[in-house]
Amino acid sequence: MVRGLVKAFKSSGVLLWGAPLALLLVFFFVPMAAILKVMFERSGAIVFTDTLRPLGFTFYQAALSTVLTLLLGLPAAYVFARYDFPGKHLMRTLNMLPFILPTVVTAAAFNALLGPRGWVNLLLMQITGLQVPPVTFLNTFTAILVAHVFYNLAIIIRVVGSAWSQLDPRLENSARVLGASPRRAFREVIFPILRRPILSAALLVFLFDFTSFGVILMLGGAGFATLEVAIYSQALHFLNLPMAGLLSVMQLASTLIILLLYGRVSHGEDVPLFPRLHGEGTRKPRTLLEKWIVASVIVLLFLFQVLPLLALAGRSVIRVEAERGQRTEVQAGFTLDYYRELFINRQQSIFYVPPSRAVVNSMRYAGITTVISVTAGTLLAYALVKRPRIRRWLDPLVMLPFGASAVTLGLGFIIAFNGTRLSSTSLPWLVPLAHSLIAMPFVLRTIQPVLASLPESLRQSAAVLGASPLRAWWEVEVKLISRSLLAGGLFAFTISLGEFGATSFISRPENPTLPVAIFRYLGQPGGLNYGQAMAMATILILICAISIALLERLSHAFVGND
Amino acid sequence: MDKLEVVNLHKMFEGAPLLNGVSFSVEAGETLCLLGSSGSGKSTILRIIAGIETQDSGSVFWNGADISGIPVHRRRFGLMFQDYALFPHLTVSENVAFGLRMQRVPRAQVEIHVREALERVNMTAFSSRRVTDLSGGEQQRVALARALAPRPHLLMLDEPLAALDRSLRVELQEELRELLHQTGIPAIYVTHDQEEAILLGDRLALLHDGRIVQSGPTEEVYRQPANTWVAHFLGMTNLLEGRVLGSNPLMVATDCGEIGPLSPEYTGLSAPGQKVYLLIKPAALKFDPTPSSICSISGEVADSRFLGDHYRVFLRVCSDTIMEFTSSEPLPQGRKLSLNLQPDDVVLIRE
Repeated sequence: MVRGLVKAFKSSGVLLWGAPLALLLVFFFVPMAAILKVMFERSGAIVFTDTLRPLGFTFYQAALSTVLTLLLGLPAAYVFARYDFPGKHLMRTLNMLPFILPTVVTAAAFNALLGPRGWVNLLLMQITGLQVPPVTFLNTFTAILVAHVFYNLAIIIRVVGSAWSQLDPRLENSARVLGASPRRAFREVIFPILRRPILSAALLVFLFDFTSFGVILMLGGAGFATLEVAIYSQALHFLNLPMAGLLSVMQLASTLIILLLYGRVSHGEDVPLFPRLHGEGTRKPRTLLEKWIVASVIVLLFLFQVLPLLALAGRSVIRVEAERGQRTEVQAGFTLDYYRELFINRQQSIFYVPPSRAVVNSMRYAGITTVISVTAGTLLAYALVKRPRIRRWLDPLVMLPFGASAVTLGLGFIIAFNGTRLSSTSLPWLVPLAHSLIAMPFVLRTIQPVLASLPESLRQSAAVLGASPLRAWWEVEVKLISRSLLAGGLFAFTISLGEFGATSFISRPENPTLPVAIFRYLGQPGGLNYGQAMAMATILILICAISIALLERLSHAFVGND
Repeated sequence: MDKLEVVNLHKMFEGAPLLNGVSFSVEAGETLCLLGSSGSGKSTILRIIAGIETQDSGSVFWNGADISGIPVHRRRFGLMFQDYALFPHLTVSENVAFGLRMQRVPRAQVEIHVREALERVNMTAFSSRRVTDLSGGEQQRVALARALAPRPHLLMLDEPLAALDRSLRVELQEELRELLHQTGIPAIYVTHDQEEAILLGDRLALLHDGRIVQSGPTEEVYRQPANTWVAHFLGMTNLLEGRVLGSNPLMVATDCGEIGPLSPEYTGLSAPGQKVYLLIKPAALKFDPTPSSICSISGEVADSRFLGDHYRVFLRVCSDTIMEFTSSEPLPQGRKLSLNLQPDDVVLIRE
């Protein structure tokens, strides 16, 4: 009897992947189908030639951003892989921070540093006595490129740096013993081995730059429409859904091609975002040249990645300009007003939403997203690991949302669910559902390798020692993957907290999330609004920093485990 | 008296029969060594007995009762995996306690049993260590303690020493042998190493082509291999093909001439004209003919190797067959000699 039950349970693998797959079908494929339907039914509204400019520009800016990221990232990867220097660990964590930072926060950070009301301009105006900000950074192409480098440096440093540091130092040594100069050893031994990690990291950076939305919308402005921004403005400003649909299809097709290429390049290769760290092969810089290289990489990383965040945090606690409507000279200095204001309903308007509501919304959505994506991701990870036969078709299917951009997903959601009973009764659920779809591939890729690495013999030996199947699963497997479950949950929570592209479509005006609220406040005049945006962004940075620090700790703990 | 009986096990693996009617039994107080080349299905037999895998047909009996319907965790057998399968998230003592906890043994008792088990394998000092920090030999001991702590009715060991280096293996073989005799639990020890099998097994069962081709007390199997495969597998290489000439006295015609009369114990076993093999023992190197000599084969020393306490002499005999013998003194290469065999030196194997 018991055996029969166990057998039935084992063979019904459908229990595992059925529910997550249904989630995917309803909330990913239905929206995508809705986009196609609108596009074909009302194709008269489409002007095909209007898509070519955004398409071309998207490729152009992504390619240029990738090249620039490599130019700074490769020396940094080298420094992290080969040298020990004081503060390396902190630097590594700080370097990772931008990668999970919400785009709105990034935009706010560069705004606080280089915007018309940013530190640099305020300082220059103070010195020169000019009345207009001398540095124009916002709404330039440079701003887009700089922000993309800020974002994606971590990918190059992590992927290439970890491959580099895990490279057996004896390879280089034996090349040297065989008579190769250091330069020759690099060219003939190190570089050929690193070529694949470099290429796959570059493709990943290209993909992120290609689908970048918030950065371009907020730092590039109207003049620089990528596919993502074009979808957004066609849908929300011109209300031309068929056109937005066509752009989405082009976007999806392009990202799928990039993903396929990426899959090819990184095939069979482990590209962990949180790799194990070990000190083998690293040393203190010795020669003057080495010291100079290490120092300049640290300074550059600081300028690119840390300074904007410091500017943002500083701007949230220091008053430097007049409040809205005030014409008098203001007393500059430390203030917590911007944080206090978050919880006060100033405008007595029904359209006004206090920022505290956004904080509560974001936290709730992030909580729901974590539960949904970790549950679904774990079930799928089990299905993929334990049922190799269905992996072939299930794996690409569940990774599809990773290729679809957030804006495309958001567009699909409003086309498919707007005006339906679903939206009127359960709209609050649409936001966390969209977030879950975006977070699930990350959760899946965090849990799956750990699950796959567990030898079958562990569960079998638990069974031989007297543990029932359920008990063996709980006492052995769950305990062993608990860390990656936690890491996956943290990932999901942080992703949901910072998600902007899809949320900007589907969140209701009266129920914004933190990023949406920051976006709105940044667009409004007055020092108080600006300061509140900075305060909310700083809160997000702190949460992300805590989560990154926890993730780093978890990944360190993994090392001790094997 | 505990007794495990395996009857006529069949199991297909990737479309080909892996087990093709395997039968044997083990009783309390004895260790059965299951010997076979890698891939012969030894581990599969253990996994079927443990209940991890299911046989296609055949039965496993424990004290006369068919246990095929009992799930793994209720069988109370111990199985030590080849890779040890220690739980990496638990300490040494937590690993050892696992089976006791599953039996709902009271906490105080668990501690006592864990300490006993660790004492038995000399690992008490390691009890709060992480298993991932242990060396291979230490892990092996912990795995053994973990298998023994819940007092299993039957202990199965799947090549437990295969992953260790030679000196450690020899040391642990001795310890294992002592431990197995102390506990008196019926044990099945799977290995492909015949030296390990001689040392540890009270009885041997040799698995070949999905069947047990021979089983019996270790010495008996060595004295009289059932066929040429067993002889080869046990490292006996001095084989001569022949044909029975007459059965009383038993004479066999070989490439090296007529050999016989053979020991009378084979008389009833072979009929004239039958094809047989003669196995010549490595200790049979005697040069001087005696009245009881059954043949005189001329040979030439091909090589002679020093092996520490003795020499191995390679002899080229009749039409380029090389035979190996042991000798207490080196023999110069090229030396011609004649081999005078006694009846005891020759084992007859029927094919």
